[in-house]
Amino acid sequence: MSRFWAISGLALRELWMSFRLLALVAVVTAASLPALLLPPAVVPDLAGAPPDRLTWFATLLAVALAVGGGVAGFSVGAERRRGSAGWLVSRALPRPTLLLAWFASVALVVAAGMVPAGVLAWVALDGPALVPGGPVAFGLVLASVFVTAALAVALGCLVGALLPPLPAALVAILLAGIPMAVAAIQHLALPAMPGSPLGVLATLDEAARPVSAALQAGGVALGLTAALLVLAALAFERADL
Amino acid sequence: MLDGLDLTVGVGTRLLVVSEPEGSASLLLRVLAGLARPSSGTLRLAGLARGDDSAAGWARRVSYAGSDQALYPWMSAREVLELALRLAGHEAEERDARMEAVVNRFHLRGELDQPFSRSGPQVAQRTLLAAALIGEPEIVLLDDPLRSLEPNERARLLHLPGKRRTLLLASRYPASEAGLVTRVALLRHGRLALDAPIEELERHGLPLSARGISALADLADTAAALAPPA
Repeated sequence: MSRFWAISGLALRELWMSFRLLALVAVVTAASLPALLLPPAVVPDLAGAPPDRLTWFATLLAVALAVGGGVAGFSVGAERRRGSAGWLVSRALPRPTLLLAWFASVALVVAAGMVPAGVLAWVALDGPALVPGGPVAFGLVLASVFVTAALAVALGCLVGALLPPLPAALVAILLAGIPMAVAAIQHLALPAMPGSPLGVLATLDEAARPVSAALQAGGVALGLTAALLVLAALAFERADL
Repeated sequence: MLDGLDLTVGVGTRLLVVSEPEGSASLLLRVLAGLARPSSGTLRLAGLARGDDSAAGWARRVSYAGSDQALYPWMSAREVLELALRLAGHEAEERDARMEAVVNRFHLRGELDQPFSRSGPQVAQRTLLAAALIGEPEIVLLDDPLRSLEPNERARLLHLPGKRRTLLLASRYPASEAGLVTRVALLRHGRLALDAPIEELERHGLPLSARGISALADLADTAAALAPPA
């Protein structure tokens, strides 16, 4: 376990020194900007009306979380290409430990961006009036969104184990971003859909039982994250470092 | 790049591996270090399979040093060596003693806490070799090491003590490995074309160079072709 913490610390420091940490926190935090800057919709349910602030928040968060997947893909690909992963593995570090450390580090950075984003959105959207269950319910919905973010990061780790850094980043952003953004824009909260916690977030003011829907969707995303991590570990195990 | 390669290296051998085309020798070392996966075949080093990641297993017995690009430029020599010791599972007291020994041997004290971006590639290369040797491994795999060092300094640092220590050294400049190796192997198009004592070169009046090694492999081929069938 001490190896995992040592490598997680190394990964976080590399993210910090390469400005990827700051950039990712800023991108995720910036998802709350429309909620802060746009005026509330006068008639939000009118057909053809522009998306309301909650939908904007969920959609931009989807894009930002996909960028998190891209950062994971780029990072794992870059570690392979530069030889840093090879050096660590030649020091008898198990490959899955290295991959898991990068997954945890990028996910932690995404979480660090989601906290201020959530607080800003809560304040700007007048959370107490918007969410029936109060801050706890809002926090639980955001937690399920974070599981979706972890899914995007796991996807990034998988493509990073297979592709060079830049293609890995682009593929991860596209593969993770499209379903999440569609769920947010189209207000899709189907539990089986990977990005549905964002659909729940986008409809937080209308849903009858948003927490239940978010937890269901989050559970599915958690299962998918675990499956993707296993696939990523298998791919990394066979990759040339 | 490697095909049907069958190579046995005895304990204590100092083997120089050269390849035509370049790159196969590096790949062989990367396969031996577990960084590249062969599509088939088996490899065992000192009776160990690569899967033995325990602190008492692979990490303490086999060591690999490749390109210094692998080290993060913001890291210092101290951080790299501490990480190497920690990953190898050494206890705190032992870590201090080993750190002290390699810092002295590789003249790293002056630049110990400077990031490599400031101290330069020479310090990074010395640190990489120091990290490879810090655990006193039985088998050392060196992929064209210490290229940016002055030749005498390089030869001094690569002169590894220990009669039972096995060294596999991949090099693009065989002449600079004189005095460091006892055998030479040539990989030609992925296959083993030569595995001979270094004295064989001298016996045939050939230099320790890529051309000389290649000529010795040709001579061995011709001799094998002319030999009467057993």
